[in-house]
Amino acid sequence: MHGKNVELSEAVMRFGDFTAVHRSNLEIEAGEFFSILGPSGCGKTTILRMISGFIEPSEGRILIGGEDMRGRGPNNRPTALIFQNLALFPLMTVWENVAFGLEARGVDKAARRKRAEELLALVDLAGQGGKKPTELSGGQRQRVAVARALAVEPSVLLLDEPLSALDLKLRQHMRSELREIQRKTGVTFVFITHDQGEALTMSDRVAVMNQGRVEQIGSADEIYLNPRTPFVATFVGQQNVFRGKVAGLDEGLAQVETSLGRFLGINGDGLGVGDDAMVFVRPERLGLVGRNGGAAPGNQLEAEVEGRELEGPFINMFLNAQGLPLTMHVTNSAEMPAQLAGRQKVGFRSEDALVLRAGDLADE
Amino acid sequence: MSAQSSENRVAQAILNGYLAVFFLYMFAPLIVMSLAAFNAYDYPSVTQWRGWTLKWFSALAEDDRILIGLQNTVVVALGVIVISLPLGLAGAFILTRLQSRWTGLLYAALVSPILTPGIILGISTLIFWRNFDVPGGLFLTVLAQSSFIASYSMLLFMARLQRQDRVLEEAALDLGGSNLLVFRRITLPFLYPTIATASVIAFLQSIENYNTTVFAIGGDWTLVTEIGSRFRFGLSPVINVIGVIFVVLTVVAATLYAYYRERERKRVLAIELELRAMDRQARLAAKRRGPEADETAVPLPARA
Amino acid sequence: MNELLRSYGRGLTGLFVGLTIVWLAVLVIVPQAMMLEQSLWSKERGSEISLRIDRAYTELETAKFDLAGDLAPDKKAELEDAVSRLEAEIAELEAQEQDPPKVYGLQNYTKMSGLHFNIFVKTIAYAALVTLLALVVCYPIAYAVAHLSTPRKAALLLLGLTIPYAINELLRVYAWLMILDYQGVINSFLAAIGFVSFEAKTWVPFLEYSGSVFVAMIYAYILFMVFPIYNTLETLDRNQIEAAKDLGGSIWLTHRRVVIPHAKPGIAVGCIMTFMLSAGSYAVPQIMTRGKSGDWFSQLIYRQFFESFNWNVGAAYSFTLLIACIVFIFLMMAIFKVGIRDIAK
Repeated sequence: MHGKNVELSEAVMRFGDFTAVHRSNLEIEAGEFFSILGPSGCGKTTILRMISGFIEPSEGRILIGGEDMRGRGPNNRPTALIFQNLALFPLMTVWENVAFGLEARGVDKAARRKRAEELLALVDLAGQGGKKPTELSGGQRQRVAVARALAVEPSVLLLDEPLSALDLKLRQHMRSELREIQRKTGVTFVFITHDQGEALTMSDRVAVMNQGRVEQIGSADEIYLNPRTPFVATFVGQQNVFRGKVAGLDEGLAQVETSLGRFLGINGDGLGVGDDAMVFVRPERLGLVGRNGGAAPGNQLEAEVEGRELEGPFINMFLNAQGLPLTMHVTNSAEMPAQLAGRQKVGFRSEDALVLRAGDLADE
Repeated sequence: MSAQSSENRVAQAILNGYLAVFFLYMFAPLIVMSLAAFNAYDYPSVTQWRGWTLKWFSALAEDDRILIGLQNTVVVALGVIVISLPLGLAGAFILTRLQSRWTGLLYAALVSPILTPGIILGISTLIFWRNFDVPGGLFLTVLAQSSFIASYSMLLFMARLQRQDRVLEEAALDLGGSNLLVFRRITLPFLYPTIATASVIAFLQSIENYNTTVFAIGGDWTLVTEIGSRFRFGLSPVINVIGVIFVVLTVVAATLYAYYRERERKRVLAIELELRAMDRQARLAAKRRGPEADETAVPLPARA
Repeated sequence: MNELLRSYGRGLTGLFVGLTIVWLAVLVIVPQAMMLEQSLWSKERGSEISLRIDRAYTELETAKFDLAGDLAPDKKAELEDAVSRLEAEIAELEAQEQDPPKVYGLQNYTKMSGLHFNIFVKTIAYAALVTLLALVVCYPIAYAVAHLSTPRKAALLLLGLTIPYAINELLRVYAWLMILDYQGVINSFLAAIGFVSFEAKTWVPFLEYSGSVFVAMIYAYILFMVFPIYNTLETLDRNQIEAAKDLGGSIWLTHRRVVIPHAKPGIAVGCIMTFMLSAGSYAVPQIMTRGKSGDWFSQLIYRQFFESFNWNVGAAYSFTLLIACIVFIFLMMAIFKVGIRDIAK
């Protein structure tokens, strides 16, 4: 088994008047663990179904290993899909499930059985082949689905939120298992999820989608630290957002005039004076002015403390700055007063703030 | 509150009384009919009691017309199963997958035999086949019965198909299965229980049918039309014996079915308990594996 | 169609479509159409045609008699011509008399006698009454099984409902005959307590009341009313009933505003089935009246086919019955505001 690269070239998908996927280009490298992250309805499942061949793009091409896939149905592509609900065949035994793809290819029964056992061993299910899928636990079913998909020796494995049916603990366990299987087989994994934790921890690269468009592609670090759109900035992780207009520019930094004052941040979009802008600051980059020593940060504002939540290693502070809610993570250290109330001065460094052209935020 | 509950109590009492009367209504005829099978009197009766006897059972065993009728009944019922199941299946596949503005009309046409009086189904079949010089008989009876029993099987198959997980078909296609293989390995096995149910229902409806059969049967006879003609030409308690046999068979079948269901339910429950235990162990194992698997919130990449 | 092809491929789709067409054509539509066609013509054996045959025979005899005499050759040839012409005419007329030409028209319907029409109206009215009674009898049962019983008790009740169906419709009805007969169970009981006397023939003649047919008919078709209602009631969330009661709704209000509206499709189906079965029932009135009194329309139809051998009139009567049932279906759909898709589920 070896992975192949997948390329979406100018692909568009329309259903009647509704455009599910706007003109998109996407290159997934051979053997990479690639995630497509986005809220439900963003078009990520549509992309997956285009790659697997259940639907044909309205325009543009899909190439796998450099070959144009147009006109080839799901049973004629070097892909295998793992469905959200796994879609194990309930009336077949586990090994028959795993061997179904081989049965479709006319492999004789003894060979099928042998191969199924090998694959079951690969996913730690040796000796479970005779059971029915309903006799397995959630995590085991998950692994059967993976083995069944791998049996057809796909170059690309497509996973449609396959972990969403599992409970939290099992989900986290399966993350590392899937990653491990991907490493062992070298198959290209395309993983669809709305769970940023899944996408960021498992993937080599992540594409973030919103409303039918790919907004950003990059490694987990890039996505988190250098989001390129307001949507990506707010969809992945938490943000404090200040709206305003660019009032001045200074060596890659932009000064934004907001209702709470002027803030300086990294000019991520190359904005000019007068442009509508948003300043993004992560809660962990916001701090109380005058604590922890050090120089006072360049950007400061006053806010009312409204509540706090103890998270253990840090404290989640909820603030209100003239009606704008803010969140601040404060390290839970000895210097932190047990009670912090009333009006406080908070601030952030300009290199911790990102200025982007104003746009849609994620709802969450 | 107390007014409410006393109202409820009165209503419950009325309902219980009603249920008792209702089931008396349901079972009194059965009891009367069964008793007459054991009465030595020559005519079916429970009021003219001439002592207990089993002679009507042996009389039944020697009654050739009844036995031939029984045989014909079974032949017709099997014929009905063979014809109406494929038709019902085909109709169900089309109606569950055809998206057209004609689907509603097709549906109405395919269920219409259920809503048509049985005698009319028999008559129209008789008239239709007279054009081909096919007289009434077992063959026409099979066709006439199939016209509406196929509709019943179709409804059963449709109900099942609507509960089918379409993703399973997609999954099988994705793994390289051809339409035929998917049909054979996924769709048909999914329908097996319904095929069994539909066969049983078709069989029961066929052997029970009188109104359609009496028009299509011609010179032949089934058990039911034979009973029907005996109402005119003299009855004997042999008829009641047949009733008793059917009641006993039904009770036995229902008991076996209930027993089987209960066993199946217990088996499923046991498996579920076992699975829950397995999942719990898997979670514990995941926990032991270390903190890396124990993150709860969004895992944050290392700060730059 | 695309959906079908994608799911089953060309071969299987073709097979399904073919089977469905055969079913519709051979078992449903064409036979019904032929029944309609049969009801729209008749063969009249007019007296006029036999008169013409008689007249031709007289002429033929005369001509033959003349031929037997001594005649001029040209006269003789003329007479021989006339004989062969008459013989041909007679053959043709006789063929016509044997197999009169079809006359199309509504005569089979319009000729329905006053008596037969009365029977038709009575049958429809009785069937509607049976339907109404069955609904009243069955609704509480369906509700009790669906909502007031523990699962085990409900299963037992369902079994109780099903067991009478172990025996054939004829036997079910026959059992009632044994109960209601002149010297049946009830009259014997009444005699035992001295209420009636068999010797004086003062028994209660239940079988002469149309009510006895109703009792047996409701008994025979009760499941067809109970099960559709039960099926819809079973899908009603019990919490809705609780909520209605909790809000202070009386039992009557709860049923009128919550339960019955939910059960509408089931009630409609139950009524349609019961009406159709009652209006088209041949067995029940045949057995309960022993063919003696108070014919139902179905018995009339049977006699047209197998006693009068007048299939055209029989077909016309059948079609009339079918129309009545179709009208009833639409009536129910309008009253209960349900679509054809809800019917026969």
